[in-house]
Amino acid sequence: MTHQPLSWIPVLDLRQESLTSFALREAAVFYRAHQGRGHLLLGEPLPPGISYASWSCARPLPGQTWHSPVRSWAGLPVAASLEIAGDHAPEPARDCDLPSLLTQDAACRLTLYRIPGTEADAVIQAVSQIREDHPRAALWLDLPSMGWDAAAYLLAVIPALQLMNVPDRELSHLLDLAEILERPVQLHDFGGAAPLPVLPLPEYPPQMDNSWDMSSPPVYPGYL
Amino acid sequence: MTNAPLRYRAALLQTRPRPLEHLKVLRVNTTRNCWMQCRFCDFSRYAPLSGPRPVPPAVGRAALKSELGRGNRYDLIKIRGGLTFWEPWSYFLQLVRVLAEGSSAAVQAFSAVELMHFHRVEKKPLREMLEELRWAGATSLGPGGGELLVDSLREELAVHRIRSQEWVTVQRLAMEAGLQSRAMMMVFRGITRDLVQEHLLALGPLRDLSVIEIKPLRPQGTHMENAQPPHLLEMLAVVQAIQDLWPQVQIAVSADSVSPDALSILHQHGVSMAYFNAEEIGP
Repeated sequence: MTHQPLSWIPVLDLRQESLTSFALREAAVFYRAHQGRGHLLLGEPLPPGISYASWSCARPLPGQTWHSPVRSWAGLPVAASLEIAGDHAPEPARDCDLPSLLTQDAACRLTLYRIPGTEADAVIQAVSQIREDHPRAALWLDLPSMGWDAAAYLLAVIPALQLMNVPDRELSHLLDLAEILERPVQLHDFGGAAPLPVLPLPEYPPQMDNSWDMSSPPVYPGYL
Repeated sequence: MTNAPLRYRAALLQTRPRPLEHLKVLRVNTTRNCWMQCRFCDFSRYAPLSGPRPVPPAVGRAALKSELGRGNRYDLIKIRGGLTFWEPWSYFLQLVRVLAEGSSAAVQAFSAVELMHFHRVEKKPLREMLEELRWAGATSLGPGGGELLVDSLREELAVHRIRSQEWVTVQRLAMEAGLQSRAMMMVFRGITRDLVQEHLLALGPLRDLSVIEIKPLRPQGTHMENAQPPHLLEMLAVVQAIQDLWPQVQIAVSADSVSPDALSILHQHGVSMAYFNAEEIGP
């Protein structure tokens, strides 16, 4: 059993928005709300004078991490997007297929998506196969499409996997899973800031109703 | 007894299991009122032991006949209900008779808890009651009451429920009377290895046991409202523990109590039967 931490990386997806002052304000609030950790997905580069440690862009830009569009993986019932660092995502890279892009040294992480309607066992087999074929790749599972059950099983059998796009309101599920897998949870991003531990939620015993008295059989009060 | 949690032994599954057997179930709930007030049970509306009749009558023959008259086909009819004192044993026997005559489905009638209740109320020998059930058309006794055969825990959660030994004895007598035996295991968050072992070992006397149903705790509507249901990995660990000790037994789960993904993963791990509640009669 591994004790490698499970990652919680809050993600704010602004790919469909132009970076107006409202969107930038949204990003600032997002960062503050997550103690200065979080990853931004942008459709265009940040304006001059504004910087965030962890962001990637849907357009290949010199010196910036490129977030490739989600494409289906040939021959397998999953889709994937790849992030490639720095200047290694030139224009022709868009036409390359994902497996060949994965072999590049600059490939940061591959996020796998479940295609809607795919059975859980087919997705599990596909993820296992990709893991087997690309043992060095950093594989992430898109939680909203995978679902908690398939994701929990995959994390139990392939400890190197991590979850991406865990909504804040479902953090308790991640903490539950971490408790069962006996792994800590860390809040961080890809910007290099030190990870912050996420503590397990407090546990309370099931509330016992005080009127619940089973010391004697319940007799209808009107009869007494 | 230690509190070491039961852990799933991670294993990537390579082989495809045999197809999942889907059983279409008609559930008949005789009544939701029960005097026993077990904490984990949603049949726990207060039903007094005596006094003027304050509970609605149990499901009637007309409702059953109307459902059976619709021509729906079921694989299994499950009859269960809370414990009250208003309808006599003969009423329930007739209920089983009506269902068995009106359908070709297997009839899983009542549980050891209900049998023991009627045994005490009617002062009839258990063997005789079981023979009568078989005569009425029941094919098996339900697994109710066998949630977790660990008396210390039963004392805490279900004071009036029969003891483990009593449950096993009723099931054994049922088998001798020609009824099939069914066991179950309730899985809840934080279930420990020792509890699971003790439960599975307690089933030892039921040598002909063919099915164990795993049942995730569903706290809604019970006295344990804020308890958490089990995690899928805990259910998988229970399946592994059953297979270790009872390799020849079929493992069943109610498809309504787990997500489709969980059902698929449980199936990959050895769950071979899934109950689908097609219809429910009664309160």
